[in-house]
Amino acid sequence: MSQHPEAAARFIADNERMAWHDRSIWNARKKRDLASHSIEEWEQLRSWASDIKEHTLAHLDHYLEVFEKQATANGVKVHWAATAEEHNRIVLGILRENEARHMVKSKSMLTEECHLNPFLEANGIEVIDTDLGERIVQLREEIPSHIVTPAIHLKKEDVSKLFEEKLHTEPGNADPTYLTREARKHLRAHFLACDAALTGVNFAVAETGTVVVVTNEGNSDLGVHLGKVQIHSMGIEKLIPKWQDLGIFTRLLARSATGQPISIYTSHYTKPRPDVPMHIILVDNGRTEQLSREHFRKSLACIRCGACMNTCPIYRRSGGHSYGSTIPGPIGSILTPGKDLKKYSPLPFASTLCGSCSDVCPVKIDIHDQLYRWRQIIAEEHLLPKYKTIPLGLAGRIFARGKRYDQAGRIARWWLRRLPAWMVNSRLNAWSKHRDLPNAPRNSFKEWYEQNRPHGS
Amino acid sequence: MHPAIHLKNGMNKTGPMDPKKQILDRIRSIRQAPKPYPPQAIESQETDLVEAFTGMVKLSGSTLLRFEDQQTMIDEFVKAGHPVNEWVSTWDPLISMGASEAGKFTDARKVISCAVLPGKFGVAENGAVWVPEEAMGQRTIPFLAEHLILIVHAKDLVATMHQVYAVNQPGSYGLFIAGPSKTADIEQHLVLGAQGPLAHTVILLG
Repeated sequence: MSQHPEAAARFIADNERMAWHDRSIWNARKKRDLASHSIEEWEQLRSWASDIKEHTLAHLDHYLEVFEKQATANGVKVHWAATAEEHNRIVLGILRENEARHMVKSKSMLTEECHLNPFLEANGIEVIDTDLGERIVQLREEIPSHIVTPAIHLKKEDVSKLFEEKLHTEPGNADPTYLTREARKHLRAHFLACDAALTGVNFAVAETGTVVVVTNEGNSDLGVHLGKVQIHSMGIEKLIPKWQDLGIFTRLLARSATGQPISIYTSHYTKPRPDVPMHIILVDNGRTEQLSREHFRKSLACIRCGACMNTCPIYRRSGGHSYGSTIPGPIGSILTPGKDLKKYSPLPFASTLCGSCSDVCPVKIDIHDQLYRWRQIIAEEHLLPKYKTIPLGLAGRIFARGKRYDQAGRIARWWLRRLPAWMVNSRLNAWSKHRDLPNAPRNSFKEWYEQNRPHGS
Repeated sequence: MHPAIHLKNGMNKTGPMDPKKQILDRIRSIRQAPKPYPPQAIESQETDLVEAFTGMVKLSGSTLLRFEDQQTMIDEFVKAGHPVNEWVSTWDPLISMGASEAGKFTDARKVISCAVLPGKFGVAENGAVWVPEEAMGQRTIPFLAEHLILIVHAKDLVATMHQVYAVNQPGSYGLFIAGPSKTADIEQHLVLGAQGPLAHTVILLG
């Protein structure tokens, strides 16, 4: 079971580091605000993006077939994988067919989801993640803690220590420019030695058979153009109908993700180089199942910008790893329960339901409503822990009867005014862990209103 | 269907199914109301394209140089002592001055100090330049060069991304480039020069 509360408690035990993490990620949210507010038609773009995604999902079978036809006509080999295992076997098959043993990979949450790296490594393939943040977490044998900035949970001193051990950099030199340059040399050697490249996909255009990959580092293109075979792995929900739709999505993506007006490289791969095979793998792995859930379907519109994470008060203060899922944060908490409701039942509760995630979402996913819906399903399925069901059951019985509620309130207020503060704010009262209860008033609002309401009303 | 019910994928009575058929069948079995493709009316805004483009290019950590025309650029910039014979380009005037042809560049291990490529469009809202495959000589060039210089004509500036996608076709490969390669993956410190070029210059003509 994913134990978000326990993992989050470990994260916040280091108060200073939690505050740093919170500030650091809030910074990305502020940059997103500046970038989005600079576009007058921002809300219009969000509406179009949302409508286009809904339209595509409603006609996904059609667009998948159009895409396959177009890509095939472009000289690309298109594969279909119903499961993660099928996807991994297809990748291995392509690598063996091309006698490739050294693969460079650029950022792909899908291959994290499929656990591609361990599978390939067990089959004698060397896999190097080439996005700097992904390489850092790969060397630490961790998973990304954020979908856009995978190593956001680490301080530069942590990276310095890691690089000293793995890349033999100068001990104690934590200068980000120095560390980035050293990583550049290390990765350039891998680019030059690679015989295959695999990338994730940001958008796939049905009408042209194009896959679009966005990076700031240029790592996707270095791998793809230097390898002897190129592979693009994509979830089936990455499709958009038309070439012109890219105008809308490229305007939204980087502004929502990092606050940049556009990422440095927006690469459009349509046809292979003459001598280099190009493969695209269309992966389901639970997506059609999510599509079948009416209330959760819209979650498949996600363009993986990470804005919902950056704005989320829970994500910022508990860190991506606390979720125990490939995709963390609010969007991860609505996508993941569908994969294993029992295992991931704590995730929809890792939210204050404040709704900020839905407000910043560039494709208008009703994230907080879906979190609330998952909670209801989890309760109906009896998957809530006893520490929630017992007090809530008791509270339910009290709230159900007006008189019982009034009486309980009077008793509670009487005791709260008389008990010493150390008892009220004791360790047994989880509410008072980081704050004290306010002083209890003499009367309830109901009693006050009875005495003070204007005559005649 | 109840969300908590998990379907077993991958098998039917006769063994493994064709994954394509399986995926499409599952999508078709889902009852979904048809949703129309949204009508879009994208208006081009009244902006000073050169001013907006210049501002955005500089914001991304790049250098912007502006010359009246090609000849002025050659006289004032290229001939100002630059080692043109060490450069790589697809642009004929530079090749005739001694730059190597990008299409003939074969050894990816050899350092390219500077590549000069013509861009097809410049986007005022974000400083990005569209570079089609034909302008690169080969696909690796924009990424292997340590310094990338893109040449854009002022008449090829457009306000937003929509306008590029409206007239530009995908071709075989092409991309928007909006600055030097960069990363902020180490504690959000911005570092220019990640895996690709360390420096980026846009030359605006006209």
